[in-house]
Amino acid sequence: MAMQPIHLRTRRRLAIAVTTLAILILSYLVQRQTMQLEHAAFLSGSATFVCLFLLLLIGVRRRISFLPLGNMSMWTQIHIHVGIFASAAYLHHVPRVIGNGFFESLLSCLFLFVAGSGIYGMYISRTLPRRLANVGGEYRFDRIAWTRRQIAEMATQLVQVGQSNAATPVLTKFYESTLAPFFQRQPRLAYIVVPNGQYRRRILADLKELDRYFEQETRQTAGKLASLVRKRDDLDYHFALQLRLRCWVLMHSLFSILLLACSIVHVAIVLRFFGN
Amino acid sequence: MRDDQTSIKPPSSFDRPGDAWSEFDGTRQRNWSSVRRRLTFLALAIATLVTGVGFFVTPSSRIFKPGPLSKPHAQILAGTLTKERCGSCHSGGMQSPLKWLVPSPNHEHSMTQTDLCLDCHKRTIPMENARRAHNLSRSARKQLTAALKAASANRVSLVSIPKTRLDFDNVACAVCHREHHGSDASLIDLSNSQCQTCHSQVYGDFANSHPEWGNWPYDQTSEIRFDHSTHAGKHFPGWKGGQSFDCQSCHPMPNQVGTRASSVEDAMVRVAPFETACAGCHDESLRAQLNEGISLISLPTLPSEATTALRDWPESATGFADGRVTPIMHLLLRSDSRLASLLRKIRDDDLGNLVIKDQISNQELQALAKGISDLCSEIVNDGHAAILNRMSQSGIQDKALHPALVPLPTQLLETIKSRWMRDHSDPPAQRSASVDSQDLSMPGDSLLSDDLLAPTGDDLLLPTDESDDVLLLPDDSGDLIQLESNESQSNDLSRDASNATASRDAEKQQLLLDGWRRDDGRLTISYRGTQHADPVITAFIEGFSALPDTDPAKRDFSEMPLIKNCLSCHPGASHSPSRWAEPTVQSASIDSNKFHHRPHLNVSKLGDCNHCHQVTTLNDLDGEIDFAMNSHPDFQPLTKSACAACHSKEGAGENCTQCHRYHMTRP
Amino acid sequence: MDASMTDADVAWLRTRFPFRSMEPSSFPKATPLDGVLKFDCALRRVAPGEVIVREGDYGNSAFLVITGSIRVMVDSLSQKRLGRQESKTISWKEAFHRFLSRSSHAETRTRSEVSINEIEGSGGSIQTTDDHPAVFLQDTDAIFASHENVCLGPGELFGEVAAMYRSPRTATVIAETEAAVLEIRWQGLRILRRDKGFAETLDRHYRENWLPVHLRELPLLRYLPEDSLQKVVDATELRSFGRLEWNAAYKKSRKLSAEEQIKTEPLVVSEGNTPTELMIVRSGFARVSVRHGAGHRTMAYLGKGQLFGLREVVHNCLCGPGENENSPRSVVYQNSLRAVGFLDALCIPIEVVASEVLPHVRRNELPPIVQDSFKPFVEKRTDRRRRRSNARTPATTSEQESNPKNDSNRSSEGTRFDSTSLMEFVVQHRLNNGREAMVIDLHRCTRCDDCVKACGDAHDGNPRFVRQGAVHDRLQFVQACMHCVDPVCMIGCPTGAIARNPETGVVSIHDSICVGCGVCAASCPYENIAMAEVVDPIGIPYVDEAAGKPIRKATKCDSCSGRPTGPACVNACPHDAIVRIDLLESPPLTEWLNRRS
Repeated sequence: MAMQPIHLRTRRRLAIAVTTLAILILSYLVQRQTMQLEHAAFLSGSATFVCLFLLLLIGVRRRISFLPLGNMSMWTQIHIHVGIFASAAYLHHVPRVIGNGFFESLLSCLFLFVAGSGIYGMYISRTLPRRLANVGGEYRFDRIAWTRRQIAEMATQLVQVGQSNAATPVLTKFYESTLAPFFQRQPRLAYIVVPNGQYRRRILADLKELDRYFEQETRQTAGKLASLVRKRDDLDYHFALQLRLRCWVLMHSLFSILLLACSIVHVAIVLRFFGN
Repeated sequence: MRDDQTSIKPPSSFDRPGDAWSEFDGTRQRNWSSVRRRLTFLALAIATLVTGVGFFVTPSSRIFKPGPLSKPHAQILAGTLTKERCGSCHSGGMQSPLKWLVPSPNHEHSMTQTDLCLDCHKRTIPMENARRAHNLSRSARKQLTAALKAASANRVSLVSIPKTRLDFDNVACAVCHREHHGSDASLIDLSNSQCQTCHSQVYGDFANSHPEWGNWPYDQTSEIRFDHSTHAGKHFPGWKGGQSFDCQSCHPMPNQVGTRASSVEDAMVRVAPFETACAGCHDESLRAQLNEGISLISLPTLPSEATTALRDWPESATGFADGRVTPIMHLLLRSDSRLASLLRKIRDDDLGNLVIKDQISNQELQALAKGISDLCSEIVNDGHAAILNRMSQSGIQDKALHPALVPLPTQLLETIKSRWMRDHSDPPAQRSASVDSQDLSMPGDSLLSDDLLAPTGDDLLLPTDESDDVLLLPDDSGDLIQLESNESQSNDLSRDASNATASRDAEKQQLLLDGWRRDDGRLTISYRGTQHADPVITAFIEGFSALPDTDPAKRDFSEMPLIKNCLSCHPGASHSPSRWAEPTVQSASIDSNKFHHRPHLNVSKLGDCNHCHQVTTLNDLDGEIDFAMNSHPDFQPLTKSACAACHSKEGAGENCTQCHRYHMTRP
Repeated sequence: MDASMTDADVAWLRTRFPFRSMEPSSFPKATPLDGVLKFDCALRRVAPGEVIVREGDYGNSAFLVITGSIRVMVDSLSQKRLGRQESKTISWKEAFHRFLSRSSHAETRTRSEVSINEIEGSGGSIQTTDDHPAVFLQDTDAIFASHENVCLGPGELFGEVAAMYRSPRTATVIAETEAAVLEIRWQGLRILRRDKGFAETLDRHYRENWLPVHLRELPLLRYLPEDSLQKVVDATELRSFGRLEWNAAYKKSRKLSAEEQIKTEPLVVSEGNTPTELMIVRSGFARVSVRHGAGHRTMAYLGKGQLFGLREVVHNCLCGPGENENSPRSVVYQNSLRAVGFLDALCIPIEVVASEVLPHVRRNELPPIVQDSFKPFVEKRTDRRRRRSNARTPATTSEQESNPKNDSNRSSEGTRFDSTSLMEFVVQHRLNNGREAMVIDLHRCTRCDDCVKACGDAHDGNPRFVRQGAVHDRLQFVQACMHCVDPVCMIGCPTGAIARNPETGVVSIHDSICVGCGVCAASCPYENIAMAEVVDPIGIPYVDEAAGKPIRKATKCDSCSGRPTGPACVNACPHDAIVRIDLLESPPLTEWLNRRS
């Protein structure tokens, strides 16, 4: 790991500098070849194609973690900057951003989508972790359903074992009317897409509203319930953001596979139809 | 931390993100990794399905389209099936995709794309040179390169352009013509650096580093000698109170001439026809010239000692040796050898120059007379044939001369003897009365004709200086007027025909005098032309053009005022083959330049031709002019800077392809 | 301890050396000699060839030979002989092969991996003698012939240093004949030291053999000449605080708040006292705190080899007579020292420090405030060093090279972080024990679990950790084995299946001799060891026929030792979020954090 000791910012700057240099060299070569009346599309195209392979290699590397091929973070950096370079090469290559003809437009749309999703992924994988860290608690994605159940059970127990006094029915009623659905059901799709705290705030406000009908120990129960509500909301928040991260990886990898397939066909066609 | 009082203790067992399932306290649940795996497979399946269906439903022409073709190609290929459509330009396009993977055995000697291009374009591109750079052979390219180097010697080019690796004897069409770049994309535009990547001599911007052009566009030989400077400076202002020297009156715009312009793309018409361009000023003087015609035969006056042997020699032609042998008659006589030597002795065929009893003895004069009378009798006997064959014997092929004799009536010839050769007792009055009137009905016209034709030897109308000024200026014609003060029609020559009756008489006169006629008084058969490009005279000139310039007859012929007059504007006519008119445009086998007037003339400033083609004024002419560099002394040399004024990168553009064409073979 | 000790046994023991010479009256009423023998000792019958202790093990108890003879191996035996698989890095091809031939089931073992008894020709086997399993070696005679060893007879004690000072066993001990040994727990030893003679023997033995070595390991005393070192050795006192089984107590105390924890920790030195001695942490941990408002604020924590009171002591030594307190220039202890869990300290009296130590200390090793007043020693130090360099013994040089860590960036005055909260957090969760703690930067971790997957791939399908653990603001200290400085998990392993690799310091479990007793899992205070049922490659679980119970093995992070890649979790992280780090010192974590600030 040669990159280990240096500051991450330094590493980024270094990599960006190298990438820019590479892009400049590429565009110079393309200009030069066009000037020389050669087919510069071959240069830019092959560059893009090779880059596609490099970009896909990270997926392979992920699966063969047992071989000493450098650590993933280095691969990620390479992946990012090769991706940037590939986009530049693509722009040099295509006559128009979205090709015409069924196949070519498909190809270019695929490329643009994958590139765009890559940039989006870069953005969210830098920002979402902070948002996740700012929410209390760490929840493992594969355990979230289980944790949801746990919270629901804890809530039910809280209400059931709640000592019986005048206030109990109020709490129970509120629980059945509002809390139980909240604890039982999955988070709404809207929430998963755009997680926000208003539903939690409403429930908590209603719960607070009830306080004046409670005795002391019922209030404690209510307080526990409130904290459970917060926990559940944090859980859903984690679920939404982690799901977003994972879905992004899924999309990105999926479309990159399609892209590679199509570009292979494209290359075959080009090699076949190019003549002089 | 926020919720310490309600912390969830982790489950008893770990979840394994790698596995498909993980189990917590008895409840199994699917892990994300397996969800992801399933989604991936599903999506891939759907994608392949959709793509497959898409390929089947959409016509394959729309599936693979790297880019729209340029308009002409697209129009040609519209309607054809996809396979042929691709196959018509791509040799690979004909097979089915399955065959691509297996290398076809005959692939190397299958058609290349350029061959396919040339299938359609073979008319415009010569096949043998199609693949050569500029369609030129290596040697031709070498010459051009050398010329270019010479033209731009001592010029250091600061621009450096990467050199191509092309094989200049095998340049594919696709090197320059890139298809599939959209219907409006041009197939032929190349950047300057793209042009120059092949060239060893590299130029920067047009204004500074392009070599000057020497005489262009004045280096073209012109058939009609026209002095622009004197016309612009002297004649046009001087003529009839002055006229504007308008270029377009002689060089009309192509669209004005219509059909002629459409023949070649839009080259300027070199010269408008005589009637439109020159006649306005030159017609009258030209007619005046034509009035004294050219004589086929005229009997000279010979001393009686020479003619006594001949009984029938006309008396009127007896006396001191006088009169001259006209060039045509010279040729006719020369055809028999005896006379040829004799004629050579007579200084410029003028018998008046003879001094009797010197080297020319009587019998020689007798021989001359004899020859002449033989000639006459021969002509009388077998008419045109005699003339033609005598001419051809002395070096003029008869077919050139034939059109001249067509209008010559044979009876005019037959009657020579009967009219001219008479007994000696004829009173001059009678004689003058008995002018053959078969083609002259008007009385007194012999006199008229006499007087009119009297001045044969020297030309009053023509000042003898060499300035080829054939215009009849009023002051020159003064003595003519004194000569025949009573002649109305001769006045007409010089005055404008305001008087209706006088002009009518004049025309009648003309009608009577035109064409071939025999003058018994002066014993001549002569011709008088009618207008410009008179067929008979043209025929004579073309006939004489066959003779070498040293031939005295030809010299005399071209000395004749009328002929000299013709040749002054048509210098090319005196040498066979005679060239009269200009070719409409100039064309060369190797021509890399193209210049279109039309787009330039749209620019208002360029609207008048003088902006580029500046006629040298007369005082310029007095001053030194470099004739060597400029074949047309009456034009200022057209410099590159004139073009560079507009043709800069920002302005009208300085692309190589604007003025140079790559394919150096004219379509 | 097991109730195997009967009064009869105790009585019998009282008749034997050394107990018969002991004076019962010298023992306090609360802990009479008999009580010690009854409750803090156990009689163990060992069969010939049984391995009693292994070199490198950690133990709480010393052994006293009652009958029979046992052999202490001076030459160390090979790991293989002890039934452990030696750690060697596998090649790419091997790794690839394993990847291809991996089973679909988790935690698969071959028979030979399940139990050493299945291995033909292996030197050892596991047998159970009166209900405790142990490793037995075959043809011990050959071993004794080939390896130098010492024979111990009745009345001789061994393993006491490891027991009392929490240091690894220094030699492997094998029973030569049928023998009875008395296993004495460290509490017992402490009490037995009330007996002068007994204490004499222990102390002398320790001071002669071990103290010089321990002192030499200190960077401060590296250049001491032998004579002054001897003086230091004589003057040094040994003090122990807290309980050796701190992990048991910690399971309860971890729930407490920082303030309460500090209260529970035994106070070693309280701030404001006059410095009388320089304290050196020999093992265990200590918290350096200063009174801050109503409570105590942690300034630093100390680990093995770190010093307490150096600044004050040096200051007093250089700026005036330290002994008269009223001299204005003498200072008092600025901080108070508490034992975190267990602390074993060497105390050098201040006057010995002044007379013997300081003259030989390199200036840059002293705390900054005293450096200016250090002039007179400069040239002295230089010429002294030159003399020493002439007379340098190869031992010291080799010792220096062997652990360059000593004079590396590690501060001798304790580990401190810029953020007190982080320090409090580390101490409260006893993370200062971690040599390879797994830390995740939550500001970069996308929770993709690639680390866990990679761990699962590396450890046949069963990840040794999941991303869970204590969080301090952006740092998550994941529950994965930290390969602790003080490996409490290794204490009490009957077969020595859990062992620390002397070179790498990695604590790993040797499956073939792991009997699945779960002692290690129970004693790990961080719950980083999991017991897993093992199956054969086609997924059928192994069953112990005798007990009829499925065979379990302890599984934990071995930091991928023996893999070409190093720790798979760190390698697999796409975002540089995860790191294995030594928390005993601040620089690694601080630098790591600075790189991503």
